[in-house]
Amino acid sequence: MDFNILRELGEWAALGFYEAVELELPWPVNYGRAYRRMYENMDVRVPDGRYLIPVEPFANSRTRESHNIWSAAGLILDFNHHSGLKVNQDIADEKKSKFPRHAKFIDELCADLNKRLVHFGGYTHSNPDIRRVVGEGFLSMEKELDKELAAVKTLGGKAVPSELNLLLALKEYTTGIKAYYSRTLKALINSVEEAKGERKKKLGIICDSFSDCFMTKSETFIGGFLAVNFAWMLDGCDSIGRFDQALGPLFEKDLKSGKLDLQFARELLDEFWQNFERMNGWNLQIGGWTPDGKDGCNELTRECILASGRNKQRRPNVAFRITGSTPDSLLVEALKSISKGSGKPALYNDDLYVKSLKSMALGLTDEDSREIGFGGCTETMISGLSNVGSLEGSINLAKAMELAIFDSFDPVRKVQAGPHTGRFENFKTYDEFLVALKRQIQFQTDSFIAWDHAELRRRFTAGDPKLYRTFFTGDCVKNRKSFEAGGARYNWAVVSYQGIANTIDGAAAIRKTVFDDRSISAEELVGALKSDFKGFEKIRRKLLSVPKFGNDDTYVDETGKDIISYAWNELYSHETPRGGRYIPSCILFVTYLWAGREVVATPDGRHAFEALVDSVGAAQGCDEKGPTALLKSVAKLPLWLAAGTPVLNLRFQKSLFSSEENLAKIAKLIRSFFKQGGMQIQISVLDTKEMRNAQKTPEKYKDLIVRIGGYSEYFNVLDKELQETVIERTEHGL
Amino acid sequence: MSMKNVSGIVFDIQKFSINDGPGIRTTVFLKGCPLDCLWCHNPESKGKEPEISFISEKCILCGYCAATCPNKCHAIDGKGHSYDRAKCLRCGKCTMECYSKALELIGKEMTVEEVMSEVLKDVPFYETSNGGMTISGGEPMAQFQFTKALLEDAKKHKLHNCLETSGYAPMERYKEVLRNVDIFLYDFKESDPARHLKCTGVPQDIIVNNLVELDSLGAKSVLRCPIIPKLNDRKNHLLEIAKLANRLSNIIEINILPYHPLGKSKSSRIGKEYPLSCKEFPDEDEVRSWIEMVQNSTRVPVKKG
Repeated sequence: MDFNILRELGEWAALGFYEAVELELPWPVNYGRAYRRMYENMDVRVPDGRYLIPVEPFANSRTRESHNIWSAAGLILDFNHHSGLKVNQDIADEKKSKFPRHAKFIDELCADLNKRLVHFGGYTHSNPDIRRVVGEGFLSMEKELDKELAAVKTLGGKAVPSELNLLLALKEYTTGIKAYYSRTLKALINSVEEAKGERKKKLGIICDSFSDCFMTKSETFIGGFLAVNFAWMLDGCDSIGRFDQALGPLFEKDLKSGKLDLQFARELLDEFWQNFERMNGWNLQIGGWTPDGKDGCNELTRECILASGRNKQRRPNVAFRITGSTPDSLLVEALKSISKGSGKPALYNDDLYVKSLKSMALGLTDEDSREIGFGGCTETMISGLSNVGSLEGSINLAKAMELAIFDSFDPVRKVQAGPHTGRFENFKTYDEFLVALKRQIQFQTDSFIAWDHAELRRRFTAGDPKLYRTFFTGDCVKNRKSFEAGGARYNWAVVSYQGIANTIDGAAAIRKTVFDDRSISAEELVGALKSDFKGFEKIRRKLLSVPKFGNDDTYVDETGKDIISYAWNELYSHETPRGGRYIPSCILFVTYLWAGREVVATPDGRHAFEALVDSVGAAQGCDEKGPTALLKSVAKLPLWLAAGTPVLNLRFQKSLFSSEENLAKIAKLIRSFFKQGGMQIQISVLDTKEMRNAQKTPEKYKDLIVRIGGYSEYFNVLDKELQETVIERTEHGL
Repeated sequence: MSMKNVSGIVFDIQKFSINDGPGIRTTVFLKGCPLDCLWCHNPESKGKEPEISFISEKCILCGYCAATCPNKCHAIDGKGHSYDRAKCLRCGKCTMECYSKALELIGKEMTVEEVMSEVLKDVPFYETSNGGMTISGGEPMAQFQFTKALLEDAKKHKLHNCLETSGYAPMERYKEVLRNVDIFLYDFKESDPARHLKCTGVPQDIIVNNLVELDSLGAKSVLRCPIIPKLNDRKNHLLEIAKLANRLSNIIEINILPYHPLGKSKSSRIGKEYPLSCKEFPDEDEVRSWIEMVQNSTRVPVKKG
């Protein structure tokens, strides 16, 4: 390897990696060396107008907006939180045009790295343990590492090699982090000297605070905030955990003593929120129980809610954990933020989450069960103490139903995809069909588990062991086991279900038309689905006219509950190789689009290859009886079992939020849903864009109700002129 | 006597009603109203009998209605869907075949038990929010036996009951339901008797007299006042609202209901003319000035409803 060229290209991680190759350092010390060299050398920037330092290290950092791809790096060998070290082909191409004389070198470098760095299926979001970062500091955490390393070394030849190598790798990693911290501090000191006026004053506060935090316990809010921000950068800007719990006491203390300027604090919060957007960061939690069982809401909780209202953007996903003791005033404040347009925070039934997780075979202590965090979209974890394989994968229920109808012959791939469960035309009763459907669900679950076990086991001994997470996640160091190998205190795997409402509606339609009313013959149904309803429009109309999930209809809801309970229990019965269980969820993600492309027409009337339903709610536009009926239908499902988070989307028109009285009633609506077993709800406020969509595709907005004062009317039935007036009023928040 | 099998004509059961009394409620809309208000926003509630609503925007021109109708009222041709209301006997057969719900039967005969089984579904929401059932219309007192039975049955289930009424019914009937009504949502549309008659088609004195007597019997009420630009947005009427409220000792609040034009599209779909020329939302500042004017003359809280 030509190290001079790597230096010229600024390929610091690759430099460290090949150093390890030449020195024949064992896995995963090679990864440790790569991270170390990266942090010892990478740029430290203090860009104008920014205070949360360090920021992403490269001025040419990509954003989702500009390239539809994000990378907080400018390195060919870069890292992101879910893959660890990996080759970034886009940066490779950029560097080839910047350094044409090294084009061949870069091609060979990429090829060699791709060979050496392996990656496996699955995805991992996580929360670093920010309580320790703030409350103890990095050096204290490193001391724990040193202690374990010393203990293993004294064993001499009896030491377990994998343990020793992991701890040595971590030591490389922490050496790099310390260098990065010092270089950041120096950069800040230089920047303060060059700055002027107000900027100099503020940057001075940042510099002082930074010099006094992260390495040791944080004594001020700004210091704690910078330490949290630093940990978030090191973790690849993923999900941060219980932000208000880690920093709330410092915030309240500094505000009371007059040390903290509230306006500056808000400026920093806004910058943090915008960094989530800029860096494709994910989740942040507020509220919820404290470890000793009190409602954790504090002044910073309120500030986070206000920040969510001020920053109308995609990220962060703010999860507000609402306990029975959370003040209604904060819930109403959250509703106000939601109504401003970001739809955030999302609302969580904390009492039931804690109870559900405690009741599962996950080994949670009382204290830890109250430390729920979320990663990514909303995958449930224990903040700073877990690896929950989020998302480990997904299960497509609509596909299982399709295979039950076609006796396992996959009409898309044209192959026999599983066990024969009987010809649909031969089923005499709905129960016979149900047996086939359940067998298909079981087969699909088992196949997924087998695949996932194999993938997970490979991570134990190869690939990036996620050194950053191994260091910043509770108990990995103590257990001398990597994050990927199950070193964290808690392990489980969150799996998302696709097409829940399609399956419920489809089963109810089959039950009613084919078996109860006999208004459609089995042959007609199979023919209609095969031909995507071409020539079977009347059959489709009959299927569509069967009541749908989301309307508090006992027949449909009970039919659905039976199937969904079965599916979720089936998954939950499996253990992961890291320990812990597989936990169901239903999480809004782009995957429901792809999942739909694998499934032909379904008996709920859905056309072939259309997207599947993306939440535990009704199929779009099918909840025609309003929010109470939708919430009741949904609460009939065993939501507690889908503790990975059963996402429910609720849409309201903006004018509904217009008075304090209405806000109080919406708060009661949510409390009541939680009482009935609801776990999570995310409310979006219809904006003008969506109303324009409703004008274009009214069939997807059958549920869109316009409320003016006490009067309500379906948007679709208003004439064009009135629709325009309503849209105009929405724009102005009337 | 069990009242469960008493039946009436219901045109809608609306859940998550949050502007028809306290908490989260279910509002049962009954068909038929003796008044004929120019601004009526629920014109389909006027007639007592079921009727067919046709929303041409929803029609997908599938032609199933034309094939089903025994009187050949529906025709689909190059120009679209034409519906001959003169020939229609309102049998509703076409509505059963209309998947796109362009044709709907408005008004359905339901028993007390049928209505209550729907209303009781939302009990968990009433409990958390201190809500309940509201009966509205039309004019519920126009289906007196049914309204009375509904209120009684709801009370058996310990529901909180609101009755929305125009006040235009014999006092004896109000006395009969009084003990089962927790709050009357009582309309007051026009203070000038002559104008009242002109705008609503009925005299005003009986309405005011009933209200005053109900109040003396301890009935709690919310005064609901639709304000229509150019019709009753006069200073004098606004002051009269406050004056009336000041005469009542059990009034909870006054609701000012600003006019909105959404009833317009409803008229056309049941084949009726919309009589009002005003077709715009009143200006927000104007609405605020109405509320202020009333509030300045009474201690009863005044809110936009």
